[in-house]
Amino acid sequence: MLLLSCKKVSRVASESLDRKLSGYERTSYEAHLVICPPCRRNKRQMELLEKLLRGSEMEEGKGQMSAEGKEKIRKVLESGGKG
Amino acid sequence: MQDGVVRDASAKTHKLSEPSEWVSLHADGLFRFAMLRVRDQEAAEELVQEAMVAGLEARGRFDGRCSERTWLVSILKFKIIDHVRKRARDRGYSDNLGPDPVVDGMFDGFLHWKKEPAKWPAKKDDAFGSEAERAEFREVFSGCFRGLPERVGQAFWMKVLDESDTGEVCKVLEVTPTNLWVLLHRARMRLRACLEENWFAGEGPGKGTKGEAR
Repeated sequence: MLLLSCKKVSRVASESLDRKLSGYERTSYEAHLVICPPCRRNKRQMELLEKLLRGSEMEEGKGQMSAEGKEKIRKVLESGGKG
Repeated sequence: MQDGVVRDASAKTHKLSEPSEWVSLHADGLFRFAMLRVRDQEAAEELVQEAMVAGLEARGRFDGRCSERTWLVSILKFKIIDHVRKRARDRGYSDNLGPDPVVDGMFDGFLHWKKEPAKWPAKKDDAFGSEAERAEFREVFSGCFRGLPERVGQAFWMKVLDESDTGEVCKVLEVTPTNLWVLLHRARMRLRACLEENWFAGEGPGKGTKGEAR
């Protein structure tokens, strides 16, 4: 039961954010975490990122719509949506 | 994460501005939102247009419970998902994902970490300090995000950034739930490593913040 690899544990850490782990999975996963600091850290950091990013309306850091694109939308909106 | 739009979830007092103002208020923000997801300038501009036209038609049903920007974003999300669904159909995705050499390369022959996750200086975990810092983070994040393989990125923005329902994401991407979890694992592993290097522990603005390490 303690033979989960670090790679597999990273998989379970990710899946624990998406679904409920089964009792058996949880036991072997947590047992690995107890003895493996890097896997603990990976798990904590994944959870932190999830908290920062989930439902965040994230967008590109830079970029603007082209002037032509904006002009086109303005015209369509002015004509009441019929472009 | 919005330009000049005050967000207050408790008040049902949000009002819509005149549609003639939407382009100057929201076009760039919505465009960046779409660009992160569809990675195609022309498609992103078209989707913003479709969302604004749909908003024009639906504005009578706006109930004031969210800001105008959030409302337009929610319409845009539908348009983007629709776009991806059509493209996935044209392309004929296969459910066979194949290996991910980047994630595989993070582990050695014994499946132990080749390079262990580094300590991150404690940053503002819950909220970023300023709009400038949020903008910087968005830029670093989108750089990392662009490095993801297409379907890995799609799984991540649909499920995590936009909190779509698992069943719907599986249908759009034509994957089983098990393979969706594989895609999300790949996304999280790659993003964690990239953000570590470029934001949390690198030479970027995340560096040097004092406090407890993670």
